[in-house]
Amino acid sequence: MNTRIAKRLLTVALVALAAAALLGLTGCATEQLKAEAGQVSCAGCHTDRELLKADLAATPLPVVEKAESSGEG
Amino acid sequence: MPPVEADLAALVSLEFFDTTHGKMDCRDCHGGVKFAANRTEAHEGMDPLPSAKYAESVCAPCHDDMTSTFATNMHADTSAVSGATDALVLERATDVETVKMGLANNCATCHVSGCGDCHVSRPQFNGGGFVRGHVFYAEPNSSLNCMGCHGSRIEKEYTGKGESEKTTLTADVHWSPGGMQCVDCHTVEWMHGGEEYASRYESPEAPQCTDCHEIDKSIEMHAEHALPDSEVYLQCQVCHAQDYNNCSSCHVAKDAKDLPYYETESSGFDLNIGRNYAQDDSRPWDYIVVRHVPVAESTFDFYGKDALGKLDALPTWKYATPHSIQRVTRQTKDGCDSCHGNRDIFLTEDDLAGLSDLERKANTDVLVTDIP
Repeated sequence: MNTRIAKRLLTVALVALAAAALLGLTGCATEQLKAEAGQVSCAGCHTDRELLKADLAATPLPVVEKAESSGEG
Repeated sequence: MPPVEADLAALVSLEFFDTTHGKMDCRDCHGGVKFAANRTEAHEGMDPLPSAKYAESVCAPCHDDMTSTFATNMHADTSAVSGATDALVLERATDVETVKMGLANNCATCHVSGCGDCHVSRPQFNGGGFVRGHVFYAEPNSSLNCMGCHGSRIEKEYTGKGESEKTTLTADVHWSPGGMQCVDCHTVEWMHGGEEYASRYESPEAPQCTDCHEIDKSIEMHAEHALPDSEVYLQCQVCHAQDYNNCSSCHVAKDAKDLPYYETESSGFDLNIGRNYAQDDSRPWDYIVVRHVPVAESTFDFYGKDALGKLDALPTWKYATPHSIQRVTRQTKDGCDSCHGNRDIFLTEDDLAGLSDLERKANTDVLVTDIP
């Protein structure tokens, strides 16, 4: 009886371990989207168009100056 | 190509996170700060173009078979075309240092900015911007990647955007019905380098019409002109190219703010058949189509007068492989009479009117003096 319970517990533990490993492997996206309150993360900003828009409107990217060429290059 | 809006350019799709690259931490490739208070802080130490430097880039550990050879490909530095040390134009230079200065400031800056220019974003030359929300793709998008840089000749010719005073132009037959992509002919073997070569036509991987097409010997014109033992052997494009873009007189300089720019005097679609001035085993034809390139004696005058004193070292009407192919063209529609006796379709003295003595001399071997 005790052996059967131990085996079941072991199976459950192994399944849980496998699931955790799987989540670990595939969970990057979720992880990358998470950030503490008041903080920003790479994916948190770069997956939200409205946020990007607002941020770029508040702080526009520096303009790279280019001379005007004419004709076909 | 108009630039993509700044927010869209940097917008990562959720689809990306289901891909192999999306499962990596952003910082693995880009550096930067994982959680930060604001954009400036988050981007500290961040590299927006981590695929530059090819063999030493972040791509190398997994894609070494491609990154290790890419430096030998002309897309890496456009070496023979506009590179400051080995550009073809240096053969025309009497003042080499002056020309090198112009090349370094104005021309040699044109090259891809890393693997990402073809496999994740539009070329930086066009201002960049993700094509598919940061999802990587093996085959570059013809319109958004290749034509981002190859716009004035290839895009206009291939997609039928050009206009000719002599004929109505349509898109290249390879583009219009089936939408053949650039990479269908310009294979990965060529794009990723390996063998070093001095010009794009010298690559052993350069595409040939005969890679796909067997010459139909039952067609009379093919028997006359398309076989190696034909009495007069023609490059396929002599009959099957539509008019293509030719440019004249490009000048490079810097403006008051020291920023480089160029001015091309004119450009226009036309087609000229010339004699094959560089006949060899890889270009065995007697006649070829020739494109005018915009070099002039005064191209580098901003940096030093008359630096191209040997303009005649190479023709200014050069061997061309236009991307404007059709079965029926103005060279074939009226049979033999389309070309035979048609002075306008050949490169003749008439085309050299108004040019300098040196440029006229440059094209001596290309000119057709006796119209067939």
